[in-house]
Amino acid sequence: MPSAFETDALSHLDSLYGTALRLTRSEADAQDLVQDTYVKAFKARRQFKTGTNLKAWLFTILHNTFRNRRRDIGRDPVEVDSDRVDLAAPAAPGDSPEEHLLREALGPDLQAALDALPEAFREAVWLRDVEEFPYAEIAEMLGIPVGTVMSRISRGRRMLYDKMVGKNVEPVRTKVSS
Amino acid sequence: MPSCREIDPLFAPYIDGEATADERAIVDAHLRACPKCRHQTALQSTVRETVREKLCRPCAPEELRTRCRAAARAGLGPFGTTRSAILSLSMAAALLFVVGGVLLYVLTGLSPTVLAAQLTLDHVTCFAVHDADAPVDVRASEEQYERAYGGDIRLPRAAIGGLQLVNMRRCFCGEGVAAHAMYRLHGRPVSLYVIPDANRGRASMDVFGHDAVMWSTASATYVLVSKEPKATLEALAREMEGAL
Repeated sequence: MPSAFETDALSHLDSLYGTALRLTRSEADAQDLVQDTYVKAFKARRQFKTGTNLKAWLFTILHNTFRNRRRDIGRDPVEVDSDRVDLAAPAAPGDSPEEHLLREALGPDLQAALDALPEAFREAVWLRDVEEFPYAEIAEMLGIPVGTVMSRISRGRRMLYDKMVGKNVEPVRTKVSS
Repeated sequence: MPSCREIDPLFAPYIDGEATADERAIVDAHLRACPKCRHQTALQSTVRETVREKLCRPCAPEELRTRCRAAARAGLGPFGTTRSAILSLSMAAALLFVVGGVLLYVLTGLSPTVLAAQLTLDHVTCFAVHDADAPVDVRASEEQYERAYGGDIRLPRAAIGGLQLVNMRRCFCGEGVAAHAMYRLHGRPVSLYVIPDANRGRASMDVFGHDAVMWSTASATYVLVSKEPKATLEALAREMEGAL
């Protein structure tokens, strides 16, 4: 008979897998990452404080495991795009054909555009817009300030928009400690 | 009225319903007067709605579900350890051998540098061997440690940006017994060793490609170890010292 912790933890499997897929962009690696996350979570179950957010706790483990694994294979530190939120180029007010274009986008195209974003922005947009985590929880999971979460979401959405409407803006390359 | 650049950081929380009432009022007033920003927020809002509508989280494969259920029961997946675990364990085995040698060497007369070297090896080994990814509560960990091993171990209480406590264990390095608090700083490993009843003053050392910063309070010596740049580690040490 599974424990309440086990049942609750496993109820977030799809969410964890979806996020792992966005992070790794590979089904095999995503499965490996999720399995590792659960192994660690079940081993550390006594360290989980009952009454706090189990889903956020699991996502923190997933994020840390992903970062550590990448470091093990020598792909750290991470080069990501600037956290700075640039003001987008002025656009004409009024009805926008770009908005229409975006609304008409097909799911697979949108997913490909999201997958093409630098990891920090891809992860922030996914956690907010698909997993619907509050800013404060995303900040805790990723170990970054709330202000950085906001700027990554904002910048990530703008980059996604640029990719979808074909502007392909090259972002500024900077190293950040994420 | 704030400029477009000043108000720009408020657009995401405004769209996401995370802005305060005051912030909303400021943004509303700006948007009424600024068609350009109105257009920008409309675009960002459309991206958000489109992502929410069209990107669904995929269902995990049944095989993965089975593996994770097995992990719950066994603590390990039925297919054994994953590649990264194997890598960590082999590295740990090599390091344990080295640590053993160093322990013999330093049984007497630990200079700050030798102590730092010993703790650095323990730091590397522990992060390879122990599970240290799940965040834990600081107070609960202190209490649990004190119940198990006694003493009065005090860790920094205030939240420090990007720093998460992930494990607390007893370490037999140092002068008998030290508490080893394992942290992640933006996901990267950082150790804080607390050695009770020791007074060694302040020191900063470079050992085995790691940096160590040591300081003492009235009742304990703290040693912070990591591969972070020296300046980062020293700043972190100051922040931790202030949060004790």
